[in-house]
Amino acid sequence: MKMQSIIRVLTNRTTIIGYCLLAAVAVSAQGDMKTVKGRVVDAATKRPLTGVIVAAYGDARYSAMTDEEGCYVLKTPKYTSSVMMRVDGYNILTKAIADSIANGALYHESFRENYRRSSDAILSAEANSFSNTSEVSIDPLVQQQLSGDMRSVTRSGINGLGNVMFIEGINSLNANAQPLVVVDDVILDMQLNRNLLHEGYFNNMLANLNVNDIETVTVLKNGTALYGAKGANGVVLIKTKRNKSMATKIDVTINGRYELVPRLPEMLNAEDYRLYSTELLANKVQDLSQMKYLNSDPNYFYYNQYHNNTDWTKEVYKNAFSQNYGINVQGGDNVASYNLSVGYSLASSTLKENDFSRFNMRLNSDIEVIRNLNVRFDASYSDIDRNLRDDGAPLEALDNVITSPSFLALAKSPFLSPYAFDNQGRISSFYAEADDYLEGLFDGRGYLANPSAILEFGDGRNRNSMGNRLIMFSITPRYKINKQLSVSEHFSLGLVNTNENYYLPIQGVPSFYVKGLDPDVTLQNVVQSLAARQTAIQSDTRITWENRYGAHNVGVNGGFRYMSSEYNQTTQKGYNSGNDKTPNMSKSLLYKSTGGANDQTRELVWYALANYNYAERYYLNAGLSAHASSRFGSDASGLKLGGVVWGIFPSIEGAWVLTNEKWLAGVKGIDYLRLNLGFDVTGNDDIDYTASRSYFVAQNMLDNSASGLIIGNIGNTELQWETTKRFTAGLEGNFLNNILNVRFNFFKSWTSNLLALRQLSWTSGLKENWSNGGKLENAGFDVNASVKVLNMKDFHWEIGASMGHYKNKVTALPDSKSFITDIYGGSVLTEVGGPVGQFYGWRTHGVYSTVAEAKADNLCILKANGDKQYFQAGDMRFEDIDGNGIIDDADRTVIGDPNPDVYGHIFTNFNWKNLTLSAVFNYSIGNDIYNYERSLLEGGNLLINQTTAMNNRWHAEGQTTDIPRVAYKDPMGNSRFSDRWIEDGSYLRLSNVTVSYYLPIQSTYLQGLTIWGSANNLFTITRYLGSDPDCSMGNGVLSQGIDRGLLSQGRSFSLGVNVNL
Amino acid sequence: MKKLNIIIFSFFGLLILSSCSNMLEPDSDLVEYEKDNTLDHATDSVYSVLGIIRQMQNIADRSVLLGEARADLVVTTDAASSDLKRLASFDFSQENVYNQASDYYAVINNCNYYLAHVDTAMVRRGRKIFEREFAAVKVFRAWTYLQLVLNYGSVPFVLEPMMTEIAAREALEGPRLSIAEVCDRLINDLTPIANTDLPSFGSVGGYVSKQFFYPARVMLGDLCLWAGRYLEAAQWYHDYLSDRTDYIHLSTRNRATWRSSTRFDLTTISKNYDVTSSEEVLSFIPMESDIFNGVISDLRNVFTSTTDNYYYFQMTPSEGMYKLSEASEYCIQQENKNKTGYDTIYVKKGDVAERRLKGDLRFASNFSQSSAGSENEFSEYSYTYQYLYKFWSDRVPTCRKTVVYLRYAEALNRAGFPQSAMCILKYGLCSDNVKDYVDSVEQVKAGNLIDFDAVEFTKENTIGIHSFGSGDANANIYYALPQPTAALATRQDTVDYQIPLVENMIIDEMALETSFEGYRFYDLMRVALRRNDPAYLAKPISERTGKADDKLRSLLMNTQNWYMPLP
Repeated sequence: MKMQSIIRVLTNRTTIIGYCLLAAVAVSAQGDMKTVKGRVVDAATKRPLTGVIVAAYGDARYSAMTDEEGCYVLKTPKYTSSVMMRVDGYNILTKAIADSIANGALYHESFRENYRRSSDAILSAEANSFSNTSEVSIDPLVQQQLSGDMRSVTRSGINGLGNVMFIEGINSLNANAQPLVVVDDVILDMQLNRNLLHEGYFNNMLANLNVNDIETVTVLKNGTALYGAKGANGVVLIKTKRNKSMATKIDVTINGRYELVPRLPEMLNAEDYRLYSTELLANKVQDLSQMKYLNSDPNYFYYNQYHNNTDWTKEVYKNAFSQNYGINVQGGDNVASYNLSVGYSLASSTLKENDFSRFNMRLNSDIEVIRNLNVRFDASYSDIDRNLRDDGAPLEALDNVITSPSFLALAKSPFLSPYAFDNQGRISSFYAEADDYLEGLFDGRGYLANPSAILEFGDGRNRNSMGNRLIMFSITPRYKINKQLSVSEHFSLGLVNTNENYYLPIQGVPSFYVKGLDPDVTLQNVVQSLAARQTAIQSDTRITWENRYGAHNVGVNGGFRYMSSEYNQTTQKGYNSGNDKTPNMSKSLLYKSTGGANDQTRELVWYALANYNYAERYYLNAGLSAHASSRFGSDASGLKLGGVVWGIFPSIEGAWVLTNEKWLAGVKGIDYLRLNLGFDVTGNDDIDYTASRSYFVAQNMLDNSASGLIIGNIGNTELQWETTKRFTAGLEGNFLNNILNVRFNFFKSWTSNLLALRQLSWTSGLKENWSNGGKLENAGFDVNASVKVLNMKDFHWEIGASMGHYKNKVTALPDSKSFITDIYGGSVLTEVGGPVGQFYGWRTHGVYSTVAEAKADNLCILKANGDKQYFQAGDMRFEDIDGNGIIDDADRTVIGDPNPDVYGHIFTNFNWKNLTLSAVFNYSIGNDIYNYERSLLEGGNLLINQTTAMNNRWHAEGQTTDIPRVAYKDPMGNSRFSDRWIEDGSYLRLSNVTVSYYLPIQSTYLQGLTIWGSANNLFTITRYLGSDPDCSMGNGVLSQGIDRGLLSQGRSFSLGVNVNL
Repeated sequence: MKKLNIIIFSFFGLLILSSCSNMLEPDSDLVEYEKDNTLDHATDSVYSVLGIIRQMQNIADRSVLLGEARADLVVTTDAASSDLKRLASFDFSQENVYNQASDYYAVINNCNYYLAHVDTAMVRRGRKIFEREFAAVKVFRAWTYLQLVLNYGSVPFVLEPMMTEIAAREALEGPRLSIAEVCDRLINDLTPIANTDLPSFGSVGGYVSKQFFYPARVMLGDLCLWAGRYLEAAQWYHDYLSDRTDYIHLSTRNRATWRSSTRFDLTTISKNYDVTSSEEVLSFIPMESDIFNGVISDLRNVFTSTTDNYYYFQMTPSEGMYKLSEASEYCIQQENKNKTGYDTIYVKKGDVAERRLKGDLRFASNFSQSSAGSENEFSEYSYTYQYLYKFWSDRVPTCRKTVVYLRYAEALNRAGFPQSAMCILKYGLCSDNVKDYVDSVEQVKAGNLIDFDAVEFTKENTIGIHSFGSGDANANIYYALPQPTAALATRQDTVDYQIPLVENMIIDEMALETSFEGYRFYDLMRVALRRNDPAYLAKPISERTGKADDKLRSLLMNTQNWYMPLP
């Protein structure tokens, strides 16, 4: 009974909305027409343009065409305030009608498009030209084009790892803060937090899309009601190419890329390292002369073995070559049209054994089944194969075996050789075993593996490989009931299949220990495997109604979306496979363990969206969605209906095109001016799948002979989405005869109900569960401007730039407690009043150069047993913030902020006839980076190779330097997390330069040919000491601005040809 | 057309709204949601009971460390963790790993859930199939509550499962019960199941699973002892020890003795007095043998030099321990040369080679300390090392035979039967010894409380506990029932005079017998509370190093400082 009445209310409500809108706009004067005249010329030559279609903006029913003189006469309703002019070879122009006249000067299509064919009230930014590139993933191209609209940071230089993205600040703390990605109306699960086996690797779902298949990428800044509890971090819409004409078009793309080894830290040479290591061992070894590697007698048996000068980076890095092939066929008739593309990419990375290959296929088709019923059917398949190795600096360099060849290449002692020496002291072709020059010391800990051996013996599909397959089907029947009303159903099925193998070989790797495992058992190698499968179903049933009543243009659509996702993952791990010939998971492995995930989510969304505009002058968008999800707790605060809780997410946007007002229409210098306003309430549903439910978990016990069921979680039934309320305001304009284009947007957002792990009442017996608490705010702006510097007949030059800025601030935390998160030896402070992610550590003021200086400060540390140990000459001078003479945790302070002041891009385009030269710079200013890798390579406390900066280490009384004395394990904590490792991450980089030449060929077989060449990452201006300031080690909000030494991007040069058949 | 619109809309609406809550209900292969854990199947029940033991593993080490680190028999070394050091100095912070009350409630809540949901009425083959598990889980819960309340003084007491944050919060904010109140509640809770047999799952992970379970009657005895209900306590202990289906004997073979009556050095000790054998241990918490598999016991690394701790042990016997052990007179009863009778010899302390060998031998037989040949400053290993043989890596005992006997003695003594109590210490309780050493008045009064089967318990197979380490205590004239120097007015006056003195002897005996096993602090506390004399606890602890620590003493004179603060 209850249910029925609910339905009635719902259906009634929708009809009522429809009626109201109808009534409001029903009265309209059809008879009142006016005549608009004008002349359209080429903006460069001022010559008249013939055949330009001039139409009432937003209403193509009223159109005219220019004659030889470029003149047109258009009969259009009186309310029409602007016209749109378009002709092939030129950009679209929108022109306000002033006193029944609208003249136009069109710009060549090589300029960026500043007007759109249709408008609504929503704020968005679009990137759209992705040809002439050898990138395998769209992320870097979006970074290049939309840098001001979205902060985008490169994850790694390994092919296709993509970028982390943040739109309009950072809107979460513990949950995902990256935008929702929607590909052809299907929400793509980006798998941001999925476990993978290889360090420093991320399974970027966007790498499954071939760049050549993508038509546009749009960043939505407001108007996200449709996405309910998923829209809080902004939305990125990706549209793939569809057929537009009936002529069959075949495009073939072939390109290749050569990438150079990226900038790497300069390391000590063999003799300098020998000196350094001797210094570290000075107080650790009774008789240094007994160490084999310190014997300098050339006749000594071990002399050759320990007297090399190896540049290990040469063993691990190489210049890399990549190639992409693609074919795209478009065509069709009035019944069916299709866009079919097939592509293959083979890309290698500058880090050896990190290669990428991808086969992908996509069919986008539109079929008119019967009159008024058309069906969109899309299918895509992509198959990525990689080989991988761990990348990046290790978490605990001393306690763990270092497995990443990239870090080993820096850390490994240069006096060793990758190859073994025979018993005559002659070098062989066999790979050397792990370090043994520290034999007998440190209980076997801290020896380094031979990176060449890891690369060689870890090679193979069953050893270190990764595969990802993405299959998407989507079918969308759309039935047009009448001119105004249509019903559609969009059903999609997505399958993601991921498998990964990990193998750390025995040969060349030292035996090691793992924390938590029996310290008496020596481990030799690791075998891991992972298999994951995700099935996502999305169904979207929608009714659309639209109509125009004179000046009133109304559209309403509403519908229901159902989403279900099931993700299963199984991982296995074991140690000691016996030998390198058996790299597989097997019964005989030691410490076998399995893990995995089994996540199910189901979501229901009701939504209604309405858009309205009056005379293309005033735009209004309103939307409302009700979102229920299996992730929400049953007692969450929201609308309770049908036994579940619904989050309600409204949004409203308005826009006003001022230039379409009579009083501004003819004003010189202002061609277009539009004001945007919006207010959205959105949510973030990145809640742990089971957090709202109580459940039991089985735990193996008594040496795996039994298992016990224990309470694993006490569900927080009040758990709900994070809510973000965002106000947006913007101004967009074209000035000075459309030479200058400026877009300025401002936003301010308030996020509440932040997801946080809350300490549970201790009577529950559990430590914590997820709950909502805490607030943060973001405010900022982005501005885009472009100028057409030169516009001559055959020569066009445009310059533009963008700048984004956000300031975020945590405004409330549960129990007002600030908290510290430890990441990679550093600490990140979250406190009320501060931004997210700020680095919290010690401040330093150089190195004590003399005993007297150190004595004067008289600072000390407290050892574990309570004894004081005083800083001496050669130690760092830490700031004693609390003034108690002891340097301890209380002396920590904020030492850096990873959030930039501004970021954006600068671009320029030259076009001379068929030759185009374009360049893009990207920049980021004011962000700090915690250089974790450098903290290991300049820490002066471990027996790993150090950078050449270490040659300046403090040695003698009176020496002035900024590098302290070295000491094994650093008892004074000179290398602790301090401002020594916080660097200014500002940079300006020439990201891309492309030259392309279009060869117009008129032959039966060939329509045209574009040859292009490009250079990426040519130079970077930065003070940053690490390899690349454009780096991010992870997706989490709190791990931004930390450089763990993942592969950075090298310079690359590409050459390609696009053939139109 | 509008109708069609409405029809389509309604159709989808109906379809979808009607099944909203079902549609959003997830399933999982990895976890078991509350709705699915119905506990109506035998394996469910076993898994849940094992799950409770899994949770008890988290508090196993603590059951020992909290009882020793705070007491007077050990002191922490430099190498001790700061948490352990703070524990020893009664400085408890919320972060201290040993001060995590929630771990106790994890056991309690799992028990609560089990007890609330298990289908006790389910009968198969004429047996209530969950009856034994039900009883065992009640005892687990009682054991955990007793541990909890002894460490925290007064605690929230909940017997219902807390499956929502709200329920847990209500419990936290609810009234807190004192030690006596908790004991009274638990006595009521356990009495109905006191005679239920222990469950057995056969061999689990190489352990006799029956020994995972703490005996219900011993638990009741413990609770009554803490609640001051001595007669009942004595009765429960007696009933347990003399249960006709499973008599509990003290082994007369397992003793630490001098093999010679002339030489007193290490080589002439009979053997190690083994308190960890399955003969001695009644119940234990099984631990993992390898940290990879879960929770292992770290006690070995705390008390003993191992390669894991680089020989740096964290606690070592205190001056108090030495003194206590030294204070015993070792008595040897030897047949005289003419084989006409027995000579009683007392070992002269001056004749004994090492200090730890003076007096009672149990200390020395379980403890040794030595040092490496020469100190090597480049070695990561400690120069001195220590061994304490009472710790297993894979199990933490919760109940021992001698402990039950000693508590039985304590209960008997306080119930007004000091002679019977003394008999347990000196001779061993059997009907012959009762006849010889307990006067008729007490025999009559105690009645069935000291009644042991005459065939099963004989002079030959019974032994006084003091004889485990101090030679032939039965012959030792220095170890005897205290007598007033002058006769007192009534018999009752004599009994009243004897009770506290015998109690002192019992508590000392407990220390000698169970040192380092985690009982000491609670033993001192129990007597101090009973006598309303904080000094009984404060004095030995503040003097454990051999020097009086007045600050610690005055801290401990306030009973509130004995307990850790709840968060």
